[in-house]
Amino acid sequence: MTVKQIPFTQDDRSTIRSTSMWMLIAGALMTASGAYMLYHLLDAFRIFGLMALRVLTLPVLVAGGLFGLGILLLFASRRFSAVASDGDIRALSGGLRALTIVYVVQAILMIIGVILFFVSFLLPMFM
Amino acid sequence: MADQDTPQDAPGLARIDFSEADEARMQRLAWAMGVVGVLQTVFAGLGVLMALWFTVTVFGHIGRAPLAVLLSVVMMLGVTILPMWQGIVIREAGEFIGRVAGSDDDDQEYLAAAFRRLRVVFIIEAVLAVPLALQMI
Repeated sequence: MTVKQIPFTQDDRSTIRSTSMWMLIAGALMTASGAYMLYHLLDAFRIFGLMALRVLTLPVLVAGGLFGLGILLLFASRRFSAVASDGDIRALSGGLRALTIVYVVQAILMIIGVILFFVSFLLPMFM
Repeated sequence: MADQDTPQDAPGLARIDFSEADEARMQRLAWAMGVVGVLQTVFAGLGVLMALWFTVTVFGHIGRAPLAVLLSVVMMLGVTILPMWQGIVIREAGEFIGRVAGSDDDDQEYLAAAFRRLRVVFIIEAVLAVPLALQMI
């Protein structure tokens, strides 16, 4: 089976390579921050078991989200770096798939955030 | 002057051979990036306005601790202007990805333009993640 390739120019390749490098840095920082937060939340779970989830739902979601999105960025960066070296379409679609999950999750979280902002902050001001 | 991101007779592929599922996914990505970009720009814009209001207020006290005042103003503006800029660039990158999925002309050039925007997005992301990481250490 032949691999479909995109004939990127040298300039485009270096742009994609540096994009994937910055994505790797951002992903690594996000993953490390998420892992650090999760590690510190473990203490509460050791003491209170799953009961801790009642009060720590938001921090667990934030830490888990950071960790998960960071991992996805690391994966996308790996795929895009393959795109930079040989213009492979399958690598490109793999990277775009990871990026889609990252941005769809972000969009959903932001929409929920906006709704909560209006309901809990702006709405009471006009009532 | 011709804009480098609106190509005329660009040398790259007019149509990249993505599957229909890939094109649908890219449309979704473009939508999500549009939503994230617009919301981030609006909310960070509100943050910039608050930072400017803070700047005006705090400059009345600049005689007492000039360095602290200047540092806090620079930090306030930095943490609000950077996300606003990032939001604008995310929206633009999403628009280019949507064009790759939506049309069959200059796909490769639009893809390269999207990557140019994404590079800026992740540079800002990395810069903004550093204080968060430092705070944890």
